[in-house]
Amino acid sequence: MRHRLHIPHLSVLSCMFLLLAACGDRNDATADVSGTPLTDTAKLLSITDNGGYYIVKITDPWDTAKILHSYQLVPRGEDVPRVVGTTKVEIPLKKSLVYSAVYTGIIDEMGAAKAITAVADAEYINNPYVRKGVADGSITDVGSTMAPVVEKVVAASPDAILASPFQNAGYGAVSQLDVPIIEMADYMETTPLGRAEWIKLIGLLYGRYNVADSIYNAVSDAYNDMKRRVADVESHPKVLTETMINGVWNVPGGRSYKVRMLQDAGASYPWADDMSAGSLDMDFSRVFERASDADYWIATSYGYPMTRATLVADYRPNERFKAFKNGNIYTCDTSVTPLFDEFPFHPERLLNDYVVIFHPEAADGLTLNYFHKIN
Amino acid sequence: MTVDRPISDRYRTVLLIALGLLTAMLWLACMLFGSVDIPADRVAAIVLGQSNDASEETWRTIILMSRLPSATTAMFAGMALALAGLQMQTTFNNPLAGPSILGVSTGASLGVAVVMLAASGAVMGYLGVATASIIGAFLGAGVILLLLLGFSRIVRSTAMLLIVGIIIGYLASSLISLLNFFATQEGVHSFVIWGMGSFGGMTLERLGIFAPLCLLGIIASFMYVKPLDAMLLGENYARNLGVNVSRTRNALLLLSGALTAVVTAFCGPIGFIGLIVPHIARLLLRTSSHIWILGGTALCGSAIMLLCQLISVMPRSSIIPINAITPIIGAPIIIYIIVNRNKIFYLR
Repeated sequence: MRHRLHIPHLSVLSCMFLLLAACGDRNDATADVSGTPLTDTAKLLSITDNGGYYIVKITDPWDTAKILHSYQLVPRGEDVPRVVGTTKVEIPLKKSLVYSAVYTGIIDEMGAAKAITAVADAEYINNPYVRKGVADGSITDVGSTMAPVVEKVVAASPDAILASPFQNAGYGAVSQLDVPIIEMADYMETTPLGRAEWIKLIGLLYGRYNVADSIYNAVSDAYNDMKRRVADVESHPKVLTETMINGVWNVPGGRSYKVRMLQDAGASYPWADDMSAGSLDMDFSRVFERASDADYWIATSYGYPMTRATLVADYRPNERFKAFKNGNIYTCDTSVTPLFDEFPFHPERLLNDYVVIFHPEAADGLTLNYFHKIN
Repeated sequence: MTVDRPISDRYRTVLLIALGLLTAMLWLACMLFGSVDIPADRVAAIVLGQSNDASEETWRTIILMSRLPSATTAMFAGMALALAGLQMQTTFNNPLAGPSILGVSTGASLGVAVVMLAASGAVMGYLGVATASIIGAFLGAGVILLLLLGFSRIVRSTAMLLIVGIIIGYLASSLISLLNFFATQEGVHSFVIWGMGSFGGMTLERLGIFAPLCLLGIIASFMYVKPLDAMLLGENYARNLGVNVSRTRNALLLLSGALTAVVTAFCGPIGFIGLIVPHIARLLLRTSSHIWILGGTALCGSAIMLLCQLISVMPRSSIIPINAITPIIGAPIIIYIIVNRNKIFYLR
């Protein structure tokens, strides 16, 4: 009995093996094919146009000597030689699973929202098209990004999944499915325009490369224009960011993306001498020592409007900061403003706010997009 | 039981005085050394109110509004948690009992989780995140404590009550996991930070509420020396000595629960201290008699908590969460106790 059961299995397996080997022999090309580069500012993303297909290389943000993932984007239905070591993705995507509100917003802006057929963490996505789709069932909600419901992912059968990679963390059971995962490491870019350039990858994936390219050029021009406005300012006001939560004050590291934007807006940062790109966990003493004389204080809240009263109720010594005494605190409730959803691909909108706040003298014709002065 | 060389009461008195001095020194160290370097003479001048220089305004704020409340909170919190642990160990006649074992601190965590992860922003906007979580923690701990007292009336056996307590703790934990799973990233982040324990969020105003509450619990603990000693001999002996066992058990549950709730509400769930400190006190004083052990536990608790606070602000670039330090001090002691159980005095 055992033998009879095994023989057919073995033969099927060996046939499959031969078939696969044959396919490989016929179509494989070398991995380091060169093409026309389409990106220049992003440090972790490189896209090349290889005539007939595109090669996308995403650098490992935690070990920049390594490649995190390479993709070969092939126009749907075209027969091109496969590039070894890459994941094949047929473009434009017709059905996609999107993990983050950051991407749904920009996909909609490019006019490709129809290709969003499933989302994770749906309750945090404010995009009207997606909200409507989730409500009427045309867009599948696969649950939490940390543990998506695999059956729903399979049922949605997306052409690709747009997800954010985390250090030493996989994608769980979803990675076992035969669906390419586009590892969107854009959030690990160290410059605002570098991150914004990832729009080109999204554009390519959704068949809107030209739209993406023109959005990026407009963003880049607007950002640089904003930067030029404050290039010659004489004063560089000192800026304190965020608030202490349960005894820990999380401030961005001196080489971080956030600090880069503050500096681009003509501000000075108390920890500019710090060399880290991540964030620093500090106690009140250390923050107060360096930032008690900060001219401005930029802080966000989630779910409630921050006021002078909530700042004092949270931690009384907050009232000792110069910015508190002068009333120069600017805040934004990120549960009702689209700040976090928009700034990755539209850093010029956030920079606009910074310029208006720190250098009103250079902000003719500009108004605040997200922040408001505290009550 | 193997008995080491017995020690005299005089030696114990000297030891308690030494522990008191050590606690005072560590409190001073917490005032003198922090994440910001301030010369010792200036710290003294500021504390004694002899600094009027406008250029020292920053240092004055740091010392009087941050270091003073943090160090004093650490001192009281250590005392309160250690005493709560001792009361639990005696009540349940279990050397591995601690303030967190009956789910009171998990109840407090649940209260905070509800505030941070599920409550509408209006609550936080009105009270501020910190005040809202203190109230949430008190409510959560209070509900669990009432549940326990209710069960204590029904369940006669102390061991069974312990099991009920542990189960209630698990239930609260599962609710926390559920809230966490469906919460926003911002909410989860704040909750995780709260769970790491900190004295850094303390202000003088909050200390004004925290310290008297702790003091009340600490004084009440010392009024239970005799019943605690009677409980050491077992419930039957205690009953023979005229102790109302179930009433004493409830009172001790309430007392240790309240102490744990107060500390957890203001500083987050701080682990290990309540579990290990009573053992350290027994090792040092070589007795289980509560007249000695209560004092020793209170002082050791303070000293260790102050040491943790000192270590947490030592690194140059960041701070270390309190709950990352307590197990480093606590784990080796627990292992020592398990290995040398016979040497430690659980009986007079």
